Amino acid sequence: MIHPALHPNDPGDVVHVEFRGWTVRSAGRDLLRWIDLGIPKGRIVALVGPAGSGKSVLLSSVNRLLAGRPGVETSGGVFLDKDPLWGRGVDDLSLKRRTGTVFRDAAVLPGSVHRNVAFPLLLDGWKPGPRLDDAVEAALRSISAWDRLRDHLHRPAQGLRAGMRQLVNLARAAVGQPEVLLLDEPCGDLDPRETEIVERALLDLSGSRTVMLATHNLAQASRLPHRVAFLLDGKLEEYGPTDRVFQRPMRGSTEDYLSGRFG
Amino acid sequence: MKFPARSALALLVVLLALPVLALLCDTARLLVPPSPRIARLRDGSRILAIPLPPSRPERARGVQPALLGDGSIRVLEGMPSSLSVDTEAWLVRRDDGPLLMGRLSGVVTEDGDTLRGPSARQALEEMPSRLGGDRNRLARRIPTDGGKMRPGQAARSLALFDAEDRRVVGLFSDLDGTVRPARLSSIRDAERAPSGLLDGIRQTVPHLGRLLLEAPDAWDGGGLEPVVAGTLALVLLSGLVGGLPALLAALQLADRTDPGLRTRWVRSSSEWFAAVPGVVWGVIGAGVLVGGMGVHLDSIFASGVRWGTGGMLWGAITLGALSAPVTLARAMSAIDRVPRSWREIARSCGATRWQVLRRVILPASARGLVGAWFSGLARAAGETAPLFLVGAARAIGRSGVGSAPAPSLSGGFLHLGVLACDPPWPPSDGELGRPLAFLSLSLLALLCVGLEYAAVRLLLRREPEITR
Repeated sequence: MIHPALHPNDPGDVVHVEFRGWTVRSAGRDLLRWIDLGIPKGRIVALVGPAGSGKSVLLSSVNRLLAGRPGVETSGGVFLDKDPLWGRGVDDLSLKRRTGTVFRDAAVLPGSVHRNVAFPLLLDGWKPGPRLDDAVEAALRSISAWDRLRDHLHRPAQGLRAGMRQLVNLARAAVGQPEVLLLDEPCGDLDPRETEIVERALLDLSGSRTVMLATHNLAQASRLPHRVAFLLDGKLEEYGPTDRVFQRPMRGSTEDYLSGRFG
Repeated sequence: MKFPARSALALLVVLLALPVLALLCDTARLLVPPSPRIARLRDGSRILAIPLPPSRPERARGVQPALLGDGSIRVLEGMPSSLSVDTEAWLVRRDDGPLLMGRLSGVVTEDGDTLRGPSARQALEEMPSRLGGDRNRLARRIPTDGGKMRPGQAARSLALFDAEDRRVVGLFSDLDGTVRPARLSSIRDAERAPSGLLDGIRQTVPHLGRLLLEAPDAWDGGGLEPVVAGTLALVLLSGLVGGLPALLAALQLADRTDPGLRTRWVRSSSEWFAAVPGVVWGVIGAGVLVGGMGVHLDSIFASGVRWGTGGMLWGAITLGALSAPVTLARAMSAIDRVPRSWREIARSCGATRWQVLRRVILPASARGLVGAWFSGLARAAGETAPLFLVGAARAIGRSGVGSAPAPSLSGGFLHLGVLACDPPWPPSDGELGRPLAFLSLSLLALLCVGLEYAAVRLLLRREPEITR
């Protein structure tokens, strides 16, 4: 059990995504070890840590992509608004639609920008028409990308630059009005200018939604999120308000990592 | 490439092409007289004749010969058709020589007058009564010298007149160009088969279609057309019973996030199975399908021996089985080329397995899947050995020589490769058979290369460009 000082919650915060003793094991190796973590509603939480520390596994525990991988064993629980995400009898599809995911790889689906953004709605059986167009426009406006992408709407998304593609992905993740956004290093492959555009879009979105942002970029981790969780070798080392973690880390490993001594 | 190298290459190509051209002309020479026809003679007997196209001088004189060499005349019984009077063929039986066969275009009478058209026919009509016998007996009675003449000679002298007994002499050419004179009570014309290369090409071009559709004497039902149709039907059917299930299996294995043990096993085993030689599949097909299931089916339906011998269906299943691993392996690699990230995106949006398949994998890999199907077809089309064992019609076997079997799933089928290896025409038709075998093999090669080319074109799809 982590010391309460390492696992604080502001008074008034409502826990939205909760990990309770969450352990993931694959091929005899612990990917995540006994994670206890509460992600407050409507906040941006950064997950930092060196490669292989379990950031992506934590995200794929929430969108249940982990469930499709062979040889993965889990114990403990993950809850979204108190609904269990794992265990017998969970409704995989309806749970997946409560989250939106953006990956590091700035890949988009084949087809136009419109099709990419509308993809989750098309899966839900929406038919092409003004209603769908409005939803696509609203999603793009919600990340302030409408003006950038409106002329590209019916051109192949693959022809866009990486930053624009990540905006498309962000809009796609947001179009279904998910409760939680899961961003797996969305700016990992972008240059600083594109990163800034995507970060601004992210801030536009975050007001209403819970965002879990895995990142290698410590500068990004220090400027965007409300909270930072530091993971190391599948364990949660430290979790707290961004300023506090960056200025007064409570663990030596956190300090070492944040000051660039490893990782 | 430097100029001399290019010219050398061009020369080589021409040198290689020449024998092929020559063979084509050889084919043309035999096939330009396009179809064997059944001719009914006045005495009621029927013969098989091939009308020959006249050379230009002959055409100018209105000569329309129809000849056949000795050995190749077949008298077929019970044939329904007959030729009209104008194209009536004459069979000549001689006492001292082989059969001759020809068509009348003119008569030089004993007085030395040349008659043409209706008057020639009339003169001929009157001759038997004068000589006391029907045409065949008449011909048989007339002595001939049996000597051979060179084609050139024959071409120059269309009508030879025997001064000694003042009888008219007919000229008939063999397939090899040898002209045999036969003294008749009437004259007819000599014919040269086309000989020169250019002649051959000139005569081949207008008849290219006929080369495929009709052939002399090989099948009475026509030329290679039923054989080509049989081969195509077999290959397509094998694509249905073998290729389609393989594609479905590849799609079924496609949606795993990480290749599991089963996928890996299927992948590697499909590579091994693709290497099993066709004849092994043939033996398995003959044992399991024909000897096992076929005999069993026959015993259930008590319909005599229907499924218990080789047939189209068993052939197609055997080819399907041997081509399925090829299709499967190529389909799986086509699906592998669909970027993993696309599937991840779709899954993260809450796509079901079916939705991932239908909306992402299938559209992105459709070309490759069709290509994989075509590779399977190419493999199936290229296999001849197993077909000998599972019901292809051939010379020595169930499905007899002479006519194409009626198309049915349980019946024997015609296949280009099988017929080229085991030709159904009798030895006397060897001359006819060689170019046909050549043509069959060329068509088969063309089919396989074409299918494989299509497959490769479809499989080697350019990856979508992703800009950074």
